[in-house]
Amino acid sequence: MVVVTKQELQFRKFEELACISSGVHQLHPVAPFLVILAYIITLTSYPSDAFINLIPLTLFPPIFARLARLPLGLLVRSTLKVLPLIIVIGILHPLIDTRPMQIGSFTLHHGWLVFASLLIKGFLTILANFLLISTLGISGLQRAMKTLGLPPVFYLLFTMVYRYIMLLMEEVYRVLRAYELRSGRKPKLRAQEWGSLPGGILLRTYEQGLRIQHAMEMRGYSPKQPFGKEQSLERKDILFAASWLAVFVCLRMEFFHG
Amino acid sequence: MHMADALISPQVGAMMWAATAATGAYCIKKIQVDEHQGPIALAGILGAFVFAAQMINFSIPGTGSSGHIGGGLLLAILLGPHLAFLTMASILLIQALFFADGGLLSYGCNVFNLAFYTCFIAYPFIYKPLAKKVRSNKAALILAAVLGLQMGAFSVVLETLFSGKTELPFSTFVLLMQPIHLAIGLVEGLISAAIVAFVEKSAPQLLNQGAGNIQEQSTSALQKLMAVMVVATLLTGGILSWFASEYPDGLEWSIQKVTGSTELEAPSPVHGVFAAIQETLAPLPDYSLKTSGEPPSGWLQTHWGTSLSGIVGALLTFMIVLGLGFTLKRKTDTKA
Repeated sequence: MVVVTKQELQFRKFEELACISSGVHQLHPVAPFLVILAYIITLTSYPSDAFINLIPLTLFPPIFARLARLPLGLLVRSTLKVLPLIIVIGILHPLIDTRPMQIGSFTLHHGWLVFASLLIKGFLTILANFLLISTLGISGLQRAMKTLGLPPVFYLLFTMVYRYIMLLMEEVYRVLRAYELRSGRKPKLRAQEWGSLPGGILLRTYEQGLRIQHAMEMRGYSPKQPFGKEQSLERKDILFAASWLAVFVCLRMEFFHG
Repeated sequence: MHMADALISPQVGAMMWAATAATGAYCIKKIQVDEHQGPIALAGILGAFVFAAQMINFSIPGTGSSGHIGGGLLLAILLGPHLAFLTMASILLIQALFFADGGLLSYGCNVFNLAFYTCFIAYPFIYKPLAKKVRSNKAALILAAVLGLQMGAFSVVLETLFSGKTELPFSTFVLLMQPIHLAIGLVEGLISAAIVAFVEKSAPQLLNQGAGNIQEQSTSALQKLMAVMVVATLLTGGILSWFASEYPDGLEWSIQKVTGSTELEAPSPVHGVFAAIQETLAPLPDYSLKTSGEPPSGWLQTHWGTSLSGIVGALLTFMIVLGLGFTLKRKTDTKA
């Protein structure tokens, strides 16, 4: 039952962070989107055993969080929660890849280097992902999609899925709670109810969703309506994106290493 | 089965983004032709259902463990493959951004692995033909769910290996991925079958919406899907082959670990004779065009032969698979 609350909190947390007033939040959503995407591409473009080269890139998240006034500690904690998935895949490397590597005065298995590289890349890419959604929120994401030329059908569908999730989570939470109480605190669904319980939720929310849709249409809703205020790319947006892109290119080309 | 950004290279990420965008654009075109707002609202609701239903723990009898709903196949049955693909893409975007289940760069890979195989391979080629034949579509659904997930899992292995971000041998990775996803696929298939059976009984009109959608579009849809697949094949052959030829594959990697060389020595004279015949006949040895004289120099020169070999090889494979498909289809039609 706690899971539902956690998911709802996750959505709310990012929506609230997206409402922060900062220079980065006021930029056109495409600018931070491109910067974060370029950062992830730069990170993942390094070879599997790159380690030292990744260190300068660890400076980006704190700088970006500072510029956007985002609480880095909170985002780091969220990142650490999902990192075990990377660890599961990474931990096999030291066991399989036992080629010796000479680092300074001691010898290390090559697999450990790959594992460390994977861990850093995993941590930084997930953190970058959270920085992006904390800056854009759902409305910024829609505007970015629109500016990048994605078809309206897709972002309309995306918005609907997102909005209905909020509606459905409450519904699923209530049904699961009722099931738990009536079945003597059984947390898992027995095979006899595999079809009827989720099927019942599906039919009820389908009808509820259509009622909402009709109500919206009756009040003049049209999918062609623009999402939020129209915003065009300005000089500051281009400057922000271009300067970060230049930094990433220089770092990747090892410009600063001489 | 969601891939993380750290596991893929920008090249593979970009290519899978392109393949996903092409499939998505094709789906959007299909929907815009004959659909309006209603199906999108329905897709939104069902997409949210698939997302929210992942919170439900389905107890697997006799094991003590629990499974979760999959969604791709269920959506394809309820909405038709085009809308199901787009709905899955929306769910995966939300999962990637808000829960880091996947990532931005690996988004194309995840949509392709989790939505393409179920919506455009498992649903039309496994579920639909089988469901027509057998009285209960339960078996068809389970088989389609299992095979769809197996294809997705295998795709994860290939994408990871082509990316070169992990150095797990091909065999180890396949042995890790496929059996786990066999069990997951079985459970997901059973759950989906139970839900579909319930909906079929309680609100059959919901199922008919998806089915009607598909029958109307089948011929032209298949042609366009083929076009998308050809483009993806060419991209795979033309671009991925650069990386495939630069790094030893999983099997070669394992051989290298054991013997110190990527190729085994010929153990007998018979092997030598066959190797000579192969050398004479094979037009694309080691994925590169045969050259006489000096090896090519420069990036373009070294890659064009590899690309051409990759494209020809991929097209040949594609044509063989297509030929097999048509032969099987004709056999099935004759029997029916």
